[in-house]
Amino acid sequence: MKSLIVLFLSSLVVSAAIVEEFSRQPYVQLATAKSMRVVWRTRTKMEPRVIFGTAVDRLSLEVPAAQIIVRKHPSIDDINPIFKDAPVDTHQFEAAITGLKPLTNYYYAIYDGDERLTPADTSYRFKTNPVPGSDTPVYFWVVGDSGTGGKAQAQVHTSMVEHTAKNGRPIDLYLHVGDMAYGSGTNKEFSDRFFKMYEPTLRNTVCWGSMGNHEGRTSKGATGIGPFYDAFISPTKAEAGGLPSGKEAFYSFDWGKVHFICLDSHDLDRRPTGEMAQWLKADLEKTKADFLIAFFHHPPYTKGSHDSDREGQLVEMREHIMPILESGGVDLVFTGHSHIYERSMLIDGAYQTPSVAKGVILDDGDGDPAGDGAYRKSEGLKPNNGHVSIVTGHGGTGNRRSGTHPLMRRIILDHGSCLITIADHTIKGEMLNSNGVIRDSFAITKSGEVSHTAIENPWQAEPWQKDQKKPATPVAPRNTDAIINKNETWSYLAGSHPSGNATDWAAPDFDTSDWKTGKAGFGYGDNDDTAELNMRGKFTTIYIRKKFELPQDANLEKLGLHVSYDDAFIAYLNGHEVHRQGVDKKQGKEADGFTDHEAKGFEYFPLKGVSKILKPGEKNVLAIEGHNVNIDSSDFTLHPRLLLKK
Amino acid sequence: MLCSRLLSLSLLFAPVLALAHNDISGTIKALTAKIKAKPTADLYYQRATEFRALQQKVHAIEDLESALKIEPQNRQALVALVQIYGSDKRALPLISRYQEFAKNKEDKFEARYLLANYKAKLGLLEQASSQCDTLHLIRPSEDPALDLFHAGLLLKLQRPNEATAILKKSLTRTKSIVVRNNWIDAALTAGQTKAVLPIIQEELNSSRFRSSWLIRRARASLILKKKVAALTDLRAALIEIGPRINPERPDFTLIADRGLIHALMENKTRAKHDLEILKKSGYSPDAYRLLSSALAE
Repeated sequence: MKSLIVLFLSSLVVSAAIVEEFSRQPYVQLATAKSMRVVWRTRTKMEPRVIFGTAVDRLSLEVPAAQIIVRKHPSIDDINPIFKDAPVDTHQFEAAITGLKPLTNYYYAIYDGDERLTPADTSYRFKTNPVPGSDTPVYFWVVGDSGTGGKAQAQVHTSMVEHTAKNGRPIDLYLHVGDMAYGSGTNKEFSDRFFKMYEPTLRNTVCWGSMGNHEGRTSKGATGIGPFYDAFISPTKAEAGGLPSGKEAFYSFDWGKVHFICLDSHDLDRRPTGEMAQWLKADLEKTKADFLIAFFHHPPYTKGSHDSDREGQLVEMREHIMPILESGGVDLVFTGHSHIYERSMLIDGAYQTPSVAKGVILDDGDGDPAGDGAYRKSEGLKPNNGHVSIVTGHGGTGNRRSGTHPLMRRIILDHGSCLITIADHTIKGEMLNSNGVIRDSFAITKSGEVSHTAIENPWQAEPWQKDQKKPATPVAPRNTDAIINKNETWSYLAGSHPSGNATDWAAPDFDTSDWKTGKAGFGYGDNDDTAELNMRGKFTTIYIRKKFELPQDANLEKLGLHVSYDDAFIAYLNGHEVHRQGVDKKQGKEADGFTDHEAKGFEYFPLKGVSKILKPGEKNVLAIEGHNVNIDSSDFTLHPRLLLKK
Repeated sequence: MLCSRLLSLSLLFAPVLALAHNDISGTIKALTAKIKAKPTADLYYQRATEFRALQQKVHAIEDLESALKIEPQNRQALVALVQIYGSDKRALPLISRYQEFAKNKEDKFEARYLLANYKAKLGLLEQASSQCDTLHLIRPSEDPALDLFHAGLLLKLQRPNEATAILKKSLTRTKSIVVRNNWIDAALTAGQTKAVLPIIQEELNSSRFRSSWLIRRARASLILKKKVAALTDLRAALIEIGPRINPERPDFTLIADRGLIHALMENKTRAKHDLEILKKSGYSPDAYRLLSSALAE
């Protein structure tokens, strides 16, 4: 285990290594217990060689040239009409490394003739799958709707990398539930918004992809043609377990005792008579796994940016596909499309339109081992024994909620992803947000024989309305003097962090001569700002400071901050933190755990215990750091006043 | 390939283009503004697909008709409109128009495949099958969708031997498990057991759920006049299938299997009961064709 951790950490050190010769850096695909594909692209032809071995300094084996497929654009005979929208002379190389041992780490290097292209480091490695059916714990990452190429997507990825590094446990595989390359899944969008973004992970961890509607603009499930199918090498002949589907659009694979099923909810026949449903039924009849995970793009249950009661694809997946999955004993269903995190209770038979809670919820607890306790199911794959449905469409694009789905236990508007562990008899799920905070935990324990009866009146989340009334805004007291009023001029720093320690910048004598000055409020996007900041997609934090004088006779315990803000802030008086709002921990660039907040006018926060900090009759400094919950947020506001009650 | 392209379009309901990350209502609003500023066939098509996603057929038809007014040869809009029209006679002139302007192999295939589907929807199975005969000659890919469609027509036409032959050929070509299972079912309908029994036996030995294979072996046993063996298999299938059926909200594919078991056991009352459930469910009759045939016999 120790060596594994060292290996993992050392690979992170070099994770930024990018090799210029590649137009698409090497990545691994189609893992089995005995084989792996290594894929890469170049801008022009090369003499491809792949050397590999079980020690990074002893790569003694070579992939035979006949096992390296070379595809190029334009192809001579146009038999394989690949990457038509890629630059002319683009070459894609797909090396099949075979004859490997199960559950073994291998290292690889790519050569152009005798010239080594990939550096000699431990990040160019992969681990083969365990023997199907063997009792090996698996840890995997699930992401959806991430393909913006923006900072939120990067933060979601980074938070996973940091979280797994901290725990010393790298992921074994990665599922993407679609919309990984906005807006149309072109080759360029794939390169920029998927491969570049996830490159350090993709070079050593297989991503199994399900096509989203955005990739569906340029790729077709029926034909398996398009940039999505150029990027992913998926099983069609049961190479990795399951039954042969004949199509890359839907497939299954085994990882130890877990059977994974990928479906195409976008552009194939979803009816029970369709080819996909027929294959699914046959595949489920065949598998002898102990755990069953399905993933596809369109969610059967959601009230996020999409509504599963209204939209055809979602309704069809629920009415036609879910019964087959549940009668096959499915444990978890991952989807995206709807830009939100929604995680259900333990449910079965929820096929009606519109969805209702009555008669379909088998356990209405939160599933958290530290809360109501894990959900329970029978050992193995028992039909109709309940599953947990997870919408994980919060991987990078703007989140949205349109209501409260009656089957959902956790509904979170926050960028993030899911990390799942399956070991022994238990599935553990976590939602990790882009700041590295676990926002949801649940587990399913599968042991013995468990029978459920649907709960008559199950727990239900609070109804949600778009302009839901928040708790009453704290109102400023009457009869106050404004020590600092609206629209006054402040010094501010935007787009970088101040020098020194985290709170040095808030001290009275801090030098702000290189800061800008501007009139409050500061922000963008909601027409309530005087100093318009170009923050979106660029940065999330600003720092503002203002000197002020207090009357000699001021009652310093009657001071209060009156502020319009979106989303969070920390206030300092003379260098001392006096109030924080919507920031869980730390300060400045290390601040963490933000809460969404819309600016709806000025809110009042009395400042208690500040009399020892302030100096009446002298210059004092109010300093505030304002934080936006995510970099792609549509707006930001920071507009403070300082009031003194008479 | 193109029959799949057609199929995919027919079932797409996909908000294909535009305004990437919006919800559907937001996308429709944005498209409406664009159409107001400068209408194009593509914008109308995009909005129609959003309306289809919301199952608003009337609005979708209006937009697709508008798209075709601007661009009479807009393939995407034309195919989508034919799909929505279904067996409505308004589909036919559109298909004819497509056949006229189709230039490449893929489009020609797709236009004819639309025609075959249209004929099938009208119940003109011979004519549909005859279109398929031509389609086999001009197929641009190995995709088995045409084979499955054609075999389905032939089975309805009581020509199981021909269906079996088509599927056998397709299986050799595609290795698709779905084609294989359809071939086995067609062969049994045709009274052929020799080629399929070893496969059935192998599947029985290696499957977690065995009911569909027990049904197939029972069908073979009945052909071979081994009624006792058939009944044994059918009873075993019934026992396995029971716990897999959620009594309130069943997987209808299992109801179709259960109905077939009852029919083969000559328990017609129960078989008819299951048939009624399936009819009420709104499932396509193709999903329970074997049950219907068994009851008809």
